[in-house]
Amino acid sequence: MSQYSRILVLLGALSMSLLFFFPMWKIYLQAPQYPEGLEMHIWVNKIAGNTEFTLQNFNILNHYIGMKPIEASSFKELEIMPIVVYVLMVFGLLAALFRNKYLVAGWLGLLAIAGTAGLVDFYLWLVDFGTNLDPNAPIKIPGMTYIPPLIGPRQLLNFHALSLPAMGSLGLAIPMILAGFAVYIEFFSGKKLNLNPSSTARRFSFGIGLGFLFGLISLTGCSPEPQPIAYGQVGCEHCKMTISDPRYGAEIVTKTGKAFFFDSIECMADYLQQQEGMQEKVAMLLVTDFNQPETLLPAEQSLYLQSEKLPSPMGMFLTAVATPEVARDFQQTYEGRLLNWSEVLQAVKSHEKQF
Amino acid sequence: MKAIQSLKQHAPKAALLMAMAAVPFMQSCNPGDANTAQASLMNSDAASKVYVEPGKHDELYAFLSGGYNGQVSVYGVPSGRLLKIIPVFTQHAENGYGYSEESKAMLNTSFGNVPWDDLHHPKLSRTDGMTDGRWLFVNANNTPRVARIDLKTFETAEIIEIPNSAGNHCSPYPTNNNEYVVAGTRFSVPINEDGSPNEASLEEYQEKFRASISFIKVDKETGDMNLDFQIMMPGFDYDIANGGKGPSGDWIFFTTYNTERAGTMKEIGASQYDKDFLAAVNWKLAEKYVKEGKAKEMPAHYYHNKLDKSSHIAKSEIKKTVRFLDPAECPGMIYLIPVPKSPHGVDVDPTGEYMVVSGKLAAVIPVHSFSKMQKAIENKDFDGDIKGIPVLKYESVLAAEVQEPGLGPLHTEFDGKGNAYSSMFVSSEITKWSLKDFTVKDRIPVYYSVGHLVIPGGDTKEPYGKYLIAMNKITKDRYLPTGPELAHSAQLIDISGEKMKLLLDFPTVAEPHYAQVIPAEKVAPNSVKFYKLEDNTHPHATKKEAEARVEKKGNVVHVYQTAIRSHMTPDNIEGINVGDTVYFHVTNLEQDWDVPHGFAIMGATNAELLIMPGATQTLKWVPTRPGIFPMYCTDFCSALHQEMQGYVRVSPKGVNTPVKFWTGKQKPAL
Repeated sequence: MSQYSRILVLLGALSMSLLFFFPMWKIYLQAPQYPEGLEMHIWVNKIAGNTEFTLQNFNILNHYIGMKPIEASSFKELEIMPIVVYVLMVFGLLAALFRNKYLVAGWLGLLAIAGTAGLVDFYLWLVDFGTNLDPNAPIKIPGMTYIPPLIGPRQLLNFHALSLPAMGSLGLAIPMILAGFAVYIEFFSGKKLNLNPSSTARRFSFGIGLGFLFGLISLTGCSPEPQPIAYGQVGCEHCKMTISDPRYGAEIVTKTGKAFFFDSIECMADYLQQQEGMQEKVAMLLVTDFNQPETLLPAEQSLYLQSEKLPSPMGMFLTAVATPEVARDFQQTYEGRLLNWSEVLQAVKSHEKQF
Repeated sequence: MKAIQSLKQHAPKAALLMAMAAVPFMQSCNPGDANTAQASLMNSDAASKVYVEPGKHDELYAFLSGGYNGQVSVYGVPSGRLLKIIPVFTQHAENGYGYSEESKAMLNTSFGNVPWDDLHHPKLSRTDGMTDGRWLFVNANNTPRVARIDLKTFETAEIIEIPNSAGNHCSPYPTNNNEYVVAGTRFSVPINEDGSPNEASLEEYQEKFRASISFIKVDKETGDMNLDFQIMMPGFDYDIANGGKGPSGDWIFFTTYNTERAGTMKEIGASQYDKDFLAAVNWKLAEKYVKEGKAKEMPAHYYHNKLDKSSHIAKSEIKKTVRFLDPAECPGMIYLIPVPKSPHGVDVDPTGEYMVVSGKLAAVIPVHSFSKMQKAIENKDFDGDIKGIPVLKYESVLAAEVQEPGLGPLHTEFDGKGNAYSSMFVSSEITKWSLKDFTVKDRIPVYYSVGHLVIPGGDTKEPYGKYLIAMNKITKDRYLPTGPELAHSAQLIDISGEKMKLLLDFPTVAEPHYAQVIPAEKVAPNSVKFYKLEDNTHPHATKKEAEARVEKKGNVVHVYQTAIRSHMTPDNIEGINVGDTVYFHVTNLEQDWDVPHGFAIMGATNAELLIMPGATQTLKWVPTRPGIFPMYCTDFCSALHQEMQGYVRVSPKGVNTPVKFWTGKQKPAL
């Protein structure tokens, strides 16, 4: 077995540890009286939510329709699955250690079986919870079942449910893909590769592998992308006021693709400096171009005017513009002073207003 | 001297003007003016400035005192929307405050359990001279007390009684880092250093009556209050105080009236002298004298009530001593500065240089200078002393007098742009004047008879400016009539431009005497959503339905009850007899935001309970007749809230009905 296949298998086996760091699946629920939303997180070894009390609140709501309480203790799987994952990890590592292509093929087979079994089991539980309802439930709607979607959206009474695989599922997807490549290399084009290690075919297949990986990552929605600010609907992460002025909104996108919205430059700057560990998580800092409402600019490359004549939403009189030319024009019209991003951070920190 | 003369000349004129202003029909005498004011309002964009879209949050929190309701009301600014009422010194049947077993102790005093008070002045806690959004201090005027409200929970966390005080009006004023919150007595009373009862003949006012100023230390981390020491003062009436800032940060200034020391008919008796005093107290020096051991200890008897955060139980501690300083033995600690007679407010400008004294009977607003005061002290520019306290000369401290500000100035706040705004009770207006040349720049009518006014941060070193709220004492025709008793009225005024603009009228709860306003971002992010059940240390908490039970010993019954959508456990109870003392300890098992449960039982002679998620509250109930008594949840918690109900069976005295309880299916008796 080639060195390359060995590395693929090794990486695949190690990537399975993602299952212990991230939930595999997330079910998002939204209803009018839950503006903040409820999230149920399914892990390989536990069932949790976006807050420590989500599960309790899920169960309180569900008891009205007679659904059984969802409790970790009722799932044998949560004890079995971690063991299965460990065994598969060790299996993969052994396959890499012994450089045995048959072991790799076997490993791929086992991964596929485990993944399929997991999905089927998950679906059966959803059906069980959604249909096996207490006949004495207070709310009974003839013919209604409450099976949450396995994947995708579904309306369940007043709740809009959305079910999606989460980061943890990569802990199964990545090893399967990498093992698939290794098997392909070893069994179908492996000889050529062994004979000629610098061949383009090898690079080509490796490249495809990586491309696949990144494609998968962006599919599960964790690549950092700017997101439009829903003016009038979403609240400022820092001051909690609804973001309404489309000339002043700001946004932080984290490395995992999560977006935080702010009603003003000063709120974002203050938040960034107050939240511990936030600065390390940032992928993008965005501010709105005053001249082009709802258009986002990178915060570090924009210029800022602090002028008494241009009050901003949270009282620091900060306005963002795209180019130095526009900035100078603005300064002529509105007076005040021009700042760059690091000066803005400093001014917000010391609450400094100079015009 | 010139100033005194001019004052003497103006005094009769002022009196005449005031008499005219007091004519009740003055407003209707001049319909033209009123109409123009209305018309100009219609043209402005006032509506858009106070319009906060549905679902959007206000820019600022305003904490308005409730005066004779003993509560604080919380408003959103600029919308004027009422957000909450916080009960402090008064029982609140609405949520059981002061009625529940947990909160009763909050209202304990050396006079017994006092269920009401007159709450006048809210003051926000400070860090480095700026409001920090952690706590709100308020005073009880009638039975002297100071309370601290925790702004994480918007609950009263602590109440401390003030000994040697009567009418705690001059209170509670914090220093720039809450080193102290001070409280001065409005009424002087006899104070006996051996702690014997303070009875004396009312004719002995001059000889026996004295005043005290209390210095309450505030813990930097927890906010816990502790009466550190008092200063025994001459027997004047102490009215309002405010701390210095910047250069004057070590000082606190108190207005006094009745320096004549009249014991009766003070309306006349306390208005005889041309001048009363501003007492300037160096708190840093006082603290030093106390550390040096100059304070004497005397017996006292006062209560200190604190709410335990994790059990939500208030506990009282009785304090037995207090220490005090005698100004005669503490040189340099206090100076008296003459001010026109019967002053009301004293306000220190953001730079800390000017002390603005609003004398309600004066025709001018005198502004004293801190730097001149220091010079006068250095030069010993004294006009004698009172009980060992040097009296400074009026002219040596005076910076300027604001001429023709209006009639009946009461209070002043600042915008941080060099302007001061004074409320004019008699002429019903707000006057804007400049701290640079001490001349009037603008005035705006308010409806009617404004008392206090507030600018967000207007009493700190960096005011937020932008808005001013006038709290008016007379409402008359501003709203739809509601019989003889009307809501007091507040008015929101835009002060961002050169001219003041009236934006909004909004009714207030009871009688606000002052307010504090703070940017929402300093408070909102810390607001607690619910209490964690696992942190609940209430000794009668029931953390699981399985632990719900009824325990009876003799004629005392403890019901350990839980509430969760949409049932209580137990909801059927038997084995209670007429005359038993029943305690319902109700724990709300919810762990989500905005799911309180209520508890009420028929015939309860106290109130209901409103229990926040994760908390335990207790209602005491003594049934007076046999029968079946329904109980239910009073807060619409869920779709099946109406079904969240149960029964208690009460048997006649002496009948031995076994204790039984259940929910759903019957459980075996204990």
